Parts: sequence; C-alpha cells; structure tokens
Amino acid sequence: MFYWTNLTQNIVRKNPVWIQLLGLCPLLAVSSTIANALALAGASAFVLIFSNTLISTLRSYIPDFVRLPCFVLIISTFTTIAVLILEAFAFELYLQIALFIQIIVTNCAILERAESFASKNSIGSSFFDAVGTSIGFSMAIIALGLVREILGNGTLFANLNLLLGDPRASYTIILFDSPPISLASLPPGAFLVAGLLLAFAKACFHHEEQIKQM
Amino acid sequence: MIKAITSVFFLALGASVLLSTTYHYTHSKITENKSLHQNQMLRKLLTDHEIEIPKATTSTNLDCSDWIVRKVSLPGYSGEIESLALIQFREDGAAVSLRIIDHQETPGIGDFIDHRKNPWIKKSDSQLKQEWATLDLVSGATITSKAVQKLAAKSLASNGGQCVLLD
Repeated sequence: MFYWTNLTQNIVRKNPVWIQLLGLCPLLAVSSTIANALALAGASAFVLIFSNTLISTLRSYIPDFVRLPCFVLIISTFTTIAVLILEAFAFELYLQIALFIQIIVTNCAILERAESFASKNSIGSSFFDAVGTSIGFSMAIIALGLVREILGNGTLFANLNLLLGDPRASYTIILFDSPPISLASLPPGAFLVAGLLLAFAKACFHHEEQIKQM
Repeated sequence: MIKAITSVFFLALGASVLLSTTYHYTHSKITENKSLHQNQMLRKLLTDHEIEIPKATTSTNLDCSDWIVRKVSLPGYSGEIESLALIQFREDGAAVSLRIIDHQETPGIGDFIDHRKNPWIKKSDSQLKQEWATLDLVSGATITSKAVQKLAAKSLASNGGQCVLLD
C-alpha cells in the first residue's frame, strides 16, 4: 500500500504541473498538438523513470556535496538516449521537436524528484514515484495539447502518424474547417490556455485541501 | 574528496558506456533517415522549380548546364546551419534557392528559416546575388537571417556540386 501512495500522490494531489508548477517551459513550448505533447510526455517519462530509479539505486554511493552534478549527469545521459532513439525511429517527429526533447535535461520537475525523493528513498518507492509523476505530467501536457489543438488548429490527432511510425496513415479528425481561436496555437495562447487550465485544476482539486486545512 | 572523485569518475564511465552502446545500435538507422530526408527535400526543391528529375540510370552523362545543386553550411546563432542550394544559370545571372536541412536556431525565434515551419525562405526562391544581398532581415533574429544571406553568397562562390543526388 505504501507504493500505492507514492504512485497516486503525484498524479492529482501533488501534480507536478498543476499544483507544484514545475516543468512549465517544455509544457508551454511543445503542447501545440496532441502528437507533440504525447512525444514529449513519453520522452520525459522515459528520462524520469530511469533517472529516478538509477539515482535511488546509487544514492548511498553518491557523496552529498557532488550530488547535483551526478544527478544532472544521469539525467542528461538518459535524455541523450531518448534523443537518439527518437532520431532513429521517429525521424519526422524528431525534426519538429528535437530541441525541446533536449531541454528535458533542464526540466526542473525531473531534477526536483531526483533531489527531494529518489536520493532519500528506496528503489521501489522511487520507481513508483517517477511513474506517478510521469502520469501527472503527461495528463497536464496532453490536456493542454488537446485544448490548444482544438482551438488553434480545429483538428484532433494531427501528425499522430509521425509518432506511431506509419507515415501514410492519418488519424486526423477535423472538428472545425477554420481554427476557432488560432491564437491558441501560438506561444501567447499557450500561456492563456495553461493559465485557464491551472485555474480549473485549482478549483477542482484544491477545494478538498482547503477544507482539510480549515 | 577521494570518494567524490571516484564516484563521479565511475558514474561518468557508466554513462559513456550506456551512451556509446545506444549510439552503436541507432547510428546506422539515423544516417539512413538523414539521407532519406535529404533526398526527399531535394526532390521537392526540384519539383518546386519545375525541373525534371533526371533518372539515376543516366547519371553518368547528365547535362548540368542550366542548374546545379550544392550543399552549403555555415555557423548560425547556435551551431551549424546546413542547407541545400539550387543554383539556376539564367541569362541575367545565377539565381539561388535555399532549403535548410539542419539547424539548431532558437525555437520560435530563429526557426523561421525552416521552410516546413514558415514560408519565409521560399519567398526568396530563384533570386539573384544582388537580390539576396538586400534581403529583409528579421528583427530579433539578425544573426540567423544574416547567416541565410551568407549561405546564398557562399553557395554561389563555392565550386562543384551535383546535378542530382537521388538514387
């Protein structure tokens, strides 16, 4: 049951994006379509799960005063591996979001989990903590991608074929012939949509917390 | 102190083993993807200019009198910008069209040079040397847009090139 708490607490109650407000840079930059959001969520999950597990495994061998360089080394190794894999197996998608995958290294949500959780807890709980955080981050970025794609492009699942490896198949669903609010697909629109979603998430999930505090 | 050095050393060693293994297994696939991508881009560039693509079987004696393709690269704002340049020899001089193959410019600011994201570079298609020299630079990305200008100049100044790179 202990692992269950590790897994679930980061999904809603301590969601890295909605509640802790971490990792907003890639979140805003890459959430213009669901395909991009899914690719970033997958790459982040890969890096987060492997780095958290490895850091937790090595936690007694890493001296305290060099722990940050060590964490960054581990995180950047897994990020480079993710980039290479993406470049080999989803090249079209890689061309679109390569730079954002590379800056997963500086995603503070990942470093924060390494520093405040994996370096102090057992391998099992660190693994489930990373899985939970990944699910929380994916939920946030996919929600943002969904809203931005519908409003900004008027489509759903555009370019998803690039992610699934079949260049000819098309999963695009056209909801509107012309985008309802094309601002949503641009960077300022990312801030506006993210702000509204944050407010919505706060209204839904923080209510319970406030009652407990009172 | 010694403990710190040894632990960082072994961690770095482990990381490099992991990276080189991944590189070993993905390297050939990545090279293949890149050349495929480049060929696609070249094919598109030629059809955009209504140039008939010569068949690979006749590649030994191609007539390169009115156009040529060159690969040029230059440092941009961050890292090398690689491009394909199509040079067409016309009566009034040599006209250049550019397509960027690879770059590391700032996303959202400098990536307008990629024709798949922004039609900006297509607006300068088939322009002469003096027209490239008076290209409108994009504010906020001066170095990037100047690099594109220099790519055009460099493509005219360099020698060699191919009639076609296609298989």
